[in-house]
Amino acid sequence: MGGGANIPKPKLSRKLLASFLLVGLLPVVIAGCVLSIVALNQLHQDANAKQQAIANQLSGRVDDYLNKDTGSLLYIAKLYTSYPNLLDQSLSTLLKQDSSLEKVDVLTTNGDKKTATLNSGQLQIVTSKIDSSDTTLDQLSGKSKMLSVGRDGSNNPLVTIGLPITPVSGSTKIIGGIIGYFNSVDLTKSLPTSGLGQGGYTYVVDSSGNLVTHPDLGFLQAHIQISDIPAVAGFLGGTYQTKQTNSENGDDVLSTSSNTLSGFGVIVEEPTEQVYASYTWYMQLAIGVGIAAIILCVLAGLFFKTKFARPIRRLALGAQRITQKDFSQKIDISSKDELQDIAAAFNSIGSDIDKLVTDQKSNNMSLTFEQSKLSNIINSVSDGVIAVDRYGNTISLNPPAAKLFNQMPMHLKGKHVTDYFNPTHDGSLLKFDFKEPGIYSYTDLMLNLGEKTTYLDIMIAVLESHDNDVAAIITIHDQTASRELSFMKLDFVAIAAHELRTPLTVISGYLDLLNNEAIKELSVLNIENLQKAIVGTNQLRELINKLLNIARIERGDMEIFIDKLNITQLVQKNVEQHMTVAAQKEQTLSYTSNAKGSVYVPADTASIVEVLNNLIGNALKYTPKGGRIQVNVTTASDHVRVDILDTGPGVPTDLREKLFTKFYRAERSLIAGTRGTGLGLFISKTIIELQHGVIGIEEDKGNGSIFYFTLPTYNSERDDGLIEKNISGGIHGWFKKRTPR
Amino acid sequence: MAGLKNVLLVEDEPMIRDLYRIALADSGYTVEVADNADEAFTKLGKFQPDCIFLDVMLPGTSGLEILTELRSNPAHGCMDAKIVILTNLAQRSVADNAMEHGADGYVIKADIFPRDLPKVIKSLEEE
Repeated sequence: MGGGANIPKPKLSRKLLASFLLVGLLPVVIAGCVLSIVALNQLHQDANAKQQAIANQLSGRVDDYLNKDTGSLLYIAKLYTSYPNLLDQSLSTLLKQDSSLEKVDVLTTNGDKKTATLNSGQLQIVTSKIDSSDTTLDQLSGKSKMLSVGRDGSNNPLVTIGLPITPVSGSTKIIGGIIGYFNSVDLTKSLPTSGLGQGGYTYVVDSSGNLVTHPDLGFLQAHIQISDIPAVAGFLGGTYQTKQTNSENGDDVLSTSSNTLSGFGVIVEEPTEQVYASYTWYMQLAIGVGIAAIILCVLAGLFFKTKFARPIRRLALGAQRITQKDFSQKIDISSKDELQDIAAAFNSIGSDIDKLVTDQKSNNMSLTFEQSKLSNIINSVSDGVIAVDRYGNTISLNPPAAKLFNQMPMHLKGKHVTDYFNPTHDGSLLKFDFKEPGIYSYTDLMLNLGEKTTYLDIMIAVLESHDNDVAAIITIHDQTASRELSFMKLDFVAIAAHELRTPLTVISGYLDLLNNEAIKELSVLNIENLQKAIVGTNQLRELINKLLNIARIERGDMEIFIDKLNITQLVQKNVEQHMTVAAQKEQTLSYTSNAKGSVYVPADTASIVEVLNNLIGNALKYTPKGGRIQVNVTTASDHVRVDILDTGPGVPTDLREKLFTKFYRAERSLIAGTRGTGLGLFISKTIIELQHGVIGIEEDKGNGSIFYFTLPTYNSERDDGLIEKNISGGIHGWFKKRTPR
Repeated sequence: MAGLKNVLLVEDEPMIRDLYRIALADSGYTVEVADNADEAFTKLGKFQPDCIFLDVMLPGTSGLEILTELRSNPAHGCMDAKIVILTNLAQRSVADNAMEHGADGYVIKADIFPRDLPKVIKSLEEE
């Protein structure tokens, strides 16, 4: 199979995988983020609270420690006021009891200074004069206590507590002062790091930022003033919040400061890393869960890809092959679900299409053959054939059609039919309409192309169709030649008839002359002979008149001149004119009418006379001797009806339809031995129909025939302006010009 | 107008011409005949007809042309004469055309009896 480049890419499986990842991971990531933030926040709050609590607790301990030391010194000071002699003993006791007490100075206002230390468990007292530069007593004056931090020889901090010695308790006058120097070992020990996490510790500074205690002895000895450390600066500035800062060692720590009643500050520090150790654990857990989720999603995606995407891709490939006209392939999916059904349907459709295509190919072959056969037939017919679509655009036309328009077929293809074919029908342009299926015939169409006029009969077969289909077949039959031939025949008949009339006029004129002038001189036999000649001449005149009429009808030259005609009078007179002939055959000819007075019709007098002559003449002719002929005029509201009833042989039913056609005569009339051309009824029918009437024969009732015709009654509104025809002054063959009224 | 006595008959067919001449002369009319236009106009120079029977189909100048000339040219002295067209065409349009050009009526030769011609003249006198 070619066209491998066109195989659809497996987008679906990628999309599926991506969807799974998105759907699976997104909640995990969001939940992880939210949880992290919450956990971080919580840890932060917990660490804060914990450090605050520890800082407060340790502040209390520092106070307790200082109060205890202060209390010991205060005891000595009070004892000295009352019992100065017991000073040495009490100092010795205190120094021995309190290991943190390194030295005690006792100053008196008389300038003596007694310094007590413990040397290898033995009290050692050095007495001296107060150095003049020593302002300690001045500083103690008026105060209850003096607290400061100094350094010993090894640069270890010494907490110095000074108390005034007053003569009376509560007096502002001092007699001396007692100053105790405490190392910070015990204080440091009294500040446990319990409750803090690993690496957490605490240290103490005084109100000037001097370091009092620090668990790192090296640091303690190396640093005295650390007020620039953020946590210390915070304490000195009076803010005791917990914050993440750089420690005195430069470590990233969470620190909290707290002030004591004695004015020292306690700083609690814990490495940030340690504080958030549990948070890191959370994070690791979250990442682990995320990775697990990714793996799950990928696995699920792969599973679904195998389960659904692959069959769908197979379907897609199958569809692709069908577009490449490969209908024979089968799609193999056995997933036992809807996809398998689809594949089965697909295979079924494919084989159906395959069959259709195969059928179509063979159909096309036979169709092509049929088309060429049809095309040959259409091209070989002598009539013009044009095939158009529903809009009238030419799809094809055969050479005779093109020749009619003096064009080559290819020059007319695609053009609208009215671009080259505009025949007229009764003087107006023929309108083509290819919408309603059916067969439409038009005769005597005229087509003017340059100076040449062509006469055509066309037939338009409109088919059921769609766009671009053949919607109609126009067949054009060129009638010009046959029409010319037909007119030549008719002209010949007309000329012949006319030429016959001249000798007829001569014969009839001289016979009449004989009949009127010479009759006295003729024998009875010759008189009879003369009468026979006259009858024959009359029949010849009638025949010639009829032939002329037929020629005119055929050419469309029949002349009708409508007057206001007194029909009752005309019929009555005509009946009277036939009385002589009826009498000769011993027939009874009668006239009846239901009309009161005269009844008028708009009609051509001469032609109606001809109709009456035909119908009454036929009745007289075919009715046997002694029979009856009745002419009856019936008037109705809108028409007048003339019935001619006879007692003749009647007309067989099967012959009635042909009765009014050209050159027809009922067979029986031939048998009866009467003569006639059969033209009279055809001419009469033409005359009556031209004047909007009806002519016909009634059902045979077994006693002769009833011919009838109707004419519309004169209507003063419609027919206003017609002049009444005078039919009373009848000289046969003479027509006087009407005198204007 | 009464007393149409002088009749000019223009007809090229001798037998018909004779037939009509005899019929009219027998009834007491003064009849002059011509068988073509030239002869007719020559006759008019010396004969003043009250009534003219004029055949339509004539060799050379047709009856209708003669009619038009007679009705439009007073020199012929036929402005008031009655003119009856003789025809065998039985085409009423031809007859109507003739009457529009001044004819007073027309006769279909094949249908009329020659003996009825005096009656035609009589009917023209009734006005």
